[in-house]
Formats: sequence, structure tokens, C-alpha cells
Amino acid sequence: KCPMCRTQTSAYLDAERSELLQIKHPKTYSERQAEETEDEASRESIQPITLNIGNRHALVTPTDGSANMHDWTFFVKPSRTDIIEEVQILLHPTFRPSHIIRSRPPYEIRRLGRGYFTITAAVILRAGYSWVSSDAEPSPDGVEDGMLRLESTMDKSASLRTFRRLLALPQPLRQRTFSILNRPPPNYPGHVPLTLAERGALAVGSAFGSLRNPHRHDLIAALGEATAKPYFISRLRTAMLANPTGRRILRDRPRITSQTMSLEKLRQLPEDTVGRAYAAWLDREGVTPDTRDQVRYIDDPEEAYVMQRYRETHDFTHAITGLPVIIEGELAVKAFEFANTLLPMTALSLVAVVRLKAAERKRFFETYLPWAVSNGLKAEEVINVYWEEELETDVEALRSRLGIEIPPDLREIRKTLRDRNKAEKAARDAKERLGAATGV
Amino acid sequence: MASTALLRRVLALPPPLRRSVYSSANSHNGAREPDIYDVVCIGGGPVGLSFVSALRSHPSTRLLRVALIDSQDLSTSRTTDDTETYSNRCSSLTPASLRFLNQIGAWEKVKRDRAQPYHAMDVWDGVSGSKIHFDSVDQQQTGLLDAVAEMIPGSRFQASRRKYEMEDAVVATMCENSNTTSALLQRLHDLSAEQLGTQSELKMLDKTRVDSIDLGSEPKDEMLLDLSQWAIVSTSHGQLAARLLVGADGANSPVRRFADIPSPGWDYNQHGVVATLHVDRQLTVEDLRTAYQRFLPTGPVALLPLPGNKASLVWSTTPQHAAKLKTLSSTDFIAAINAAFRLMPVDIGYMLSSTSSTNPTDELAWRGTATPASSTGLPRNFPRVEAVQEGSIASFPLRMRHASTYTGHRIALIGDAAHTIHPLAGQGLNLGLADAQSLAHQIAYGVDHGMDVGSCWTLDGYNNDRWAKNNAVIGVVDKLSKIYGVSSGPVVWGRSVGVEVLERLGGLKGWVMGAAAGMK
Repeated sequence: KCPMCRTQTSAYLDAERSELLQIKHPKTYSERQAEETEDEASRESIQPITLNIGNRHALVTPTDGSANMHDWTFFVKPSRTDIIEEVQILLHPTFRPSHIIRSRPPYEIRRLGRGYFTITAAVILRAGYSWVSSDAEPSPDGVEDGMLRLESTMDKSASLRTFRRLLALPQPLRQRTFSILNRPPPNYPGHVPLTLAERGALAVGSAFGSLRNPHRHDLIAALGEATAKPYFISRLRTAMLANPTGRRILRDRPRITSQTMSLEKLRQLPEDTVGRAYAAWLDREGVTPDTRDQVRYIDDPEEAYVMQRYRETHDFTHAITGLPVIIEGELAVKAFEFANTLLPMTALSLVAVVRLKAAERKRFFETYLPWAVSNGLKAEEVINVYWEEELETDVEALRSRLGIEIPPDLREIRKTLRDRNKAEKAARDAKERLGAATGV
Repeated sequence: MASTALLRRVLALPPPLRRSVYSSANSHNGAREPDIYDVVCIGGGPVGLSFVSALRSHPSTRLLRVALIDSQDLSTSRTTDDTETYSNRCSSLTPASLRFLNQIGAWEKVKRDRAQPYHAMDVWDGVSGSKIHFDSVDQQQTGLLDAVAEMIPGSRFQASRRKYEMEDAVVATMCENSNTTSALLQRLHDLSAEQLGTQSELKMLDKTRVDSIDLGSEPKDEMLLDLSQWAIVSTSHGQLAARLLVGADGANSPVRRFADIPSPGWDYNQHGVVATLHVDRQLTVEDLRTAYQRFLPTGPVALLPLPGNKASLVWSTTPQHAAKLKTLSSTDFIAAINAAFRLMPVDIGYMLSSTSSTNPTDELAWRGTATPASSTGLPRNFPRVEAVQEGSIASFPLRMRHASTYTGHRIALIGDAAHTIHPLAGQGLNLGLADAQSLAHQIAYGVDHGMDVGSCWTLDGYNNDRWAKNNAVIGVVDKLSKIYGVSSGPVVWGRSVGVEVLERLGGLKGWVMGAAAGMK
């Protein structure tokens, strides 16, 4: 439909030109776009409708010699008949009856008459439809602007008058909810709007899927997005907006990828800086800051960015706490993040505690969980840290500014335990062998 | 010799003059008989003036001896004719108040082109975005069939029961206080013209401070008047003894203090910021106007329509925010106002906090694009504020006080002396006008039945009529301000659900509107 006059048109959108205009006049383009979406979403749509009104005429000579009679047919031909309730035709009072109602097409009457006169046709629309016209009147059963009177003067020759009037279509009843067959347009590139049922199914499915296979980071991401609305991601965004640094982050919208974070440069930084610690951690764990999954299921673009930012800075949290990427370390970081950001996915992923071995579980509940909860609660919101600006700060200084204590080095503990077990096992084996050999 | 001649001259005077010479000669100790009035009204604001006008317009009370005392100069309370400037003290007058002003003949003296009736109200929640729309359609009689029709949206049945807006379907009228006051003064002047020089002439003592109010002294002997139970008002123009002393003298009423009537209540820890604004739409008399109000956690912000492209702002907010608003430049102030209606509460709080480093105009430009109107509940035809009238930004502290009783022995309180209320419902002046109407009616009843207008037999009727009604309105408004002061949690959810439900129940909405409009 033409966006200006709203008639059906075969013209199509020139994408190239549209992009050019967007680049040249970004402000006007975005204003017009906002207007259009607002218009479409909330305004009634208006459609023109054509009504042909007229008469066919034939002169008949009556057999009894009286004055000539006119055999005329008066008709109302609208371009759409599905929205017309009825047409009331008002004739000259000498006709009996002078008020004729036609509820079905063809809306016409045929009579024999003696002269010419003006006929008024009142076109009444179905419920929900209304005329957009200053001449529109309320229809007899109370619909506002439902009736339009049109006049036509009978003519010796057949007459025809064409009226073009505007028709207001009713507002669709379900404007905000959508169905699978009627998805609203995406709000940002990659956005997939989901219905409530779809979101619930995604949450449940990804929860179980990521429990069975914790290496499915895409399922964990989907779980995070599906459970973040309605309250939690909004709370996180409000926390960012309440903090001056958080506001700057939302304004600048920096992204952390392997392009924007040059690891070679970070490795050159002095020993105790955040950037160096980050690079060292990435090397130690053998991971890259590479494309974390894009956020797809959160509707508001700004909230989607907050989620993306959380995902991309997760590695920094690992770096400054020194926790490794094995399940135990991840669970400790997730517990810390839940206490700090309140995202439900972080709490739900703690269910993976069942996958730990007994000794690991013991260690988790004794040391790392208490550390995570107490530090997460008392620390500043880590989402508000502008990491790109903190790359050269001293790690200890940053930790004390945020209020985070470093937990016991998990890899060291594990290594020591492993070494001790190995030594004990070797000693046991040696004793056994000795015993077998000596018969003791 | 000279004194004997003088004495003979004095004795030759007619007795009344002789007595007055004698008493003025003895007035060195200042003990003059106080002037006795039937009604002394202290306070020349809209409520006091409307009360006196009501007395003077009613045939029963027209001949009472009435005095009106005010410390301001009442003759200069003329409202300007300049259509470009509007005073920042405007009040919203309900249809009931307008009927009262009409009855006493004052409304026809109001400059009607400076008064703006409005036909709809859009109220929405700043935290959750749930909104409610009031207009005259809901006030028409509804019955069971209409309730059933509402439940089947889009049906022919509902379409057939649709209502139309009535001819004169005004929710309330915005009028500058100076406009109302000058109309009342004009009316009093016209009424006094008929009774010039008579005993029942209205005594208008403006520019007069009340020095003190005391009970009369014990009479020295039985033949003198016993005014020991009467209130004597001492002013620079002499003393007035009041058969009935009416306090219309504002929130810190000296009359209420004299009567020892306690007025419990609390301060809201909010300041009301008022200003006159220019919006981006030039509207005419034929256009339907809407009043807008958004409830933020720090307090409600309202945009009330004035003629043309003007609007009146009333924003109740914390004292810190109010102080910051008054220090902003014009452009920043306008950005802050637009933000108050369009942005999320956290953004508004940040904009007005002392630690914000960016200026409000930039903040609004950025956050405006990131805050979709559908999520904040902004009404579709909400205008954009473009300019603020020079020198019209002011603020005042908000409090709630309600006198324990409105009457005492020969004392009555009306208007702000009796009650102060939060401005979120625009009821303050309307309650005062209703008080004035009720008290005048009660005095007329007393006069018709030969009662002493200052006795409790007359005054109890006024107390019974008004105290409970005012208490209910003050209570509801106070609870509304408390409910909307919460920014998260179950209260937000509860109030949003309540608003959504009320929005769909046309009959109940109509009843609420009727109660707010003062119709009984």
C-alpha cells in the first residue's frame, strides 16, 4: 500500500535508495520510521472506497394515453459490498413506500414514475467500520459515523455519479499479542520475537539441554535470554542507568570481540594490569574472546545490548577472580554473578552442581559458594565497569575498588591434590609390590 | 473662658454627636467600643471572597453586617488581558464549583477567554505504564446491557450501545486564581453599589493586618454589652466584634489558632513546582482539550491545558529535585519537563540529581530514542513542551492538614484554614468553595429561622455537612499519593492491575468522575 495515500499500488521499496537516505539524513529517517511504525501500530487504517450512484432510464408510453411514464432503475454500486450493512433509499414522498431498504447487493430499485426528483441513498456500514467524512452521520442503530447520505438527481438520460469516500477500517482486536503466524517485525538485526509459550518452551528445553551437555554454550545463552524478562534484565538496565559509568557504556555501546580486543597488545602490558591478567587467563585456559552468541530473544534493543555486554564481560570476571574455565570454576563465577546481577540463568546453572564429583562438591559448598555469595553481594555491580578503560589499571586496585576478594586458586588446589594423590598411590603401589615380593 | 465657650458649644450639639464627641474625647486610653459585625471574614482569597459574595447574593443574608479583612491590596487583583502570559497560580474548577460561582453571580464576571474547560483526562503510571482515560462518555447512565456489551468488544451489540460525547461535557475548567478573585471582587463591588451608605454595607478592609484576636473583656457593669464570649479582632482600623468570625485565612490560620482547634497532619516532603508552559500545538476554543498526569515515584507531574498553546505545569517532587529544577536554564528546564513525561523514572532521577555531568537536553535527546512510548504508557496525542514563560517557575511545600473540627463558639473555618491537601487531584480550591457554599447556606438557614448565626445550632450543620466529605477526599488523595510513591514490588503490580480494571469498567469510572466533580 502507498504510505502516502494508502491505495493499493504496485510500486516497491527501493532498498538502495532507502539506505542512502538513511545515511544522508539519519535523524529525519529515524523520525519518519518511528512515525510510520507508530502509525501502523496504533492508527486505524483508512481505505478509499468508490460508490457509483445513478440511474438507468427508459421512457414508456402508457397504453391508456396518460402522460408518459419513466421506467427508471436507481442503483448504488460500491466497490466493496462486504462491508456494507444495508442501503436505505429515500424516494419522493409520493412513492409508497418512499423508504426502501436493500440489505443485499444489487442495491437497486426499479420504478415507474412521472417526473424527475432527487433520490438520497444512505449507505450504512457494518459494525466496526466507519466513514471518514465530515458528512458522516450516526447510523440508526447507533454506530458513530456509520451512515453516509449521497444524493443523485434522476435524469432523463441515464445518469451516473461517482463518489469516492474514505472508509475507516476497524482496529484489529488483538493489537499487541501476536501469534506464530503473525510475528511483528524485528527491533534489531537478529531479533526473533517469541510468544510466551515459545519462550517458556525455550527456557525448559535449554535448561535440560545444557544440564546434559554443559559445553553447549548456545543453550546456556538461550536459557539466559528466555528467563531474563520480565523483571531481571530491566532491573539490570536500570542499575546501569543509575550509575554514571553504566550510562556511558549504554551510550557508547562498546563490543568485546577478538577484533576490538587485541591480544598481542594486551600481552605487552605490565604484569599486574587487568589487561595482562585477562590475556594471561585466556592463554592459560586456552580460550579466545571470540564471538559470544548474539542476543536474539530479548525484545528491547537496549536490554538486548545489556545482555550482550554481560556475556562479553563474563571472561573479565573470570580474569580478575582467577577462576578457571572447568565446571567448578564456572559454577563459582556463576554464583558470584547471581549475587551481583540477579540474572536467573546464573542461578539456574548452579543446578549443574550435580555433575561435580563428591570431593569437588564438598570444596564448592565449603569454600567457593560462600566466597561467591558474600563477594557478589558486597561488591559493586560488575556490569558497570568500563573494561575497555580499565585495561591498564592494577588488578589489585580494581579488585579493592570493586570490593572483591580473590578466592583460593582452584587450579593450584586441584594440582596439589592431584600430585598428593599420585604420590600416595605410588607409595601404596610400592608397598604392595614390596609386600608381594617379600611375602609380608 | 475658652473652655466654657467650648463646653457650651458641645452641650448645644444634638445628643448623638454630643455623645460621640464625649467618647472620642475620652479615647485617650484607646478603649473604644468595638464595631459589632454579624460576620467578620478574615481572608480575601477566592474562598473568603466567594463566601462573602454568597452571603451578599442570598436574599436572607443580604442585610447582614459583614466585614472582610485581608492584608493584601484587593483592588489591584485585576487579571491582565495579555493573552500571552498566564499566571502560574491556576486552579481546576469542577462543575460543582462553577455552579456555585454561577449562583452567586461571579462566573459571568470571569474573563472567559482566559479560562479553559477541558474534556478528558489521561492519567498513567510512570513505573508500569498502565493508564486510564477519563472522559464524559463514562458519566452517562449505564446499566446492565451496557456492562454486558462492554464484555464483547467488536460486536454489533457493543457498537449499537456506543455512547456519544455530550454537548457540554466538561470534566473541569482551568482558571487563574487572579481571574476568579477579580471576578468575585467585581461582583462584590456591584452588590455593594446597591447598598451604599446603609447599615448593611460591606466593610472591605484590605491592606489591613490583623494585630490580634481576643475574646472581649468582661463588662464593667450589667448595662454594658457583654462581649466576653465574642471574638474581637484588632486591626489598625479599629476593633471589630464578630457575632461569627470566619477564618478563610490560609494554612497558618490565626483564627484557627485563636480557636485552639488542632489541625493534625503531616508534611509530604515534596515541593510542588508550578510554571506556565508553551506547547507545540496551537488549539482553538472548539478543540477538545485533555489534562495529563503521570505518577512518578517521586511524585505526580501534571500538564493542564490553558487557552491557545499554553499549559500549566504542576510537578510534585522531592525538595532536592525542585531546587535543581529552579536552577536550570530555560532549555534545560523544558528538557526536564519533557523528560518527566517521556522517560523512565531512573533517567529523570539521574537528570535532576546533583551528580549528573551531562546537561538535560542531551540526556533527553539520547534517552528519548531509547525509550519507546508504548512501554511508558505515553498517550498518543501528548504534546511537546516548547517554551516556558519567563519568571513563572515557582515552588511551594506540600502538606496535609485537617482541622479536627471546622467550628467553635462563634468561629468557623473554611478553605485552606480548615484543610490542606495534596494537589494531585486538583481538589484544594474546590473543597474550599464547597465549604463556603455550605457555610453560607447554613447561615441563610439560621437567619431564616431566627437563630444567632454564631451559635452552635447554626454552625453544627456546616460541620456535619462538610467535615466527613472533606475527610474522605483528603484521605483518598493521601492514599493515592502513598500508593504511587512506591517504585517497585507488589504494590506496583497491584495498582497497575487496579488501573487496568478500572479503565475497562465504564460505569465505575463514571462514578469516580462524578465523585471527583463534586456531584452528589
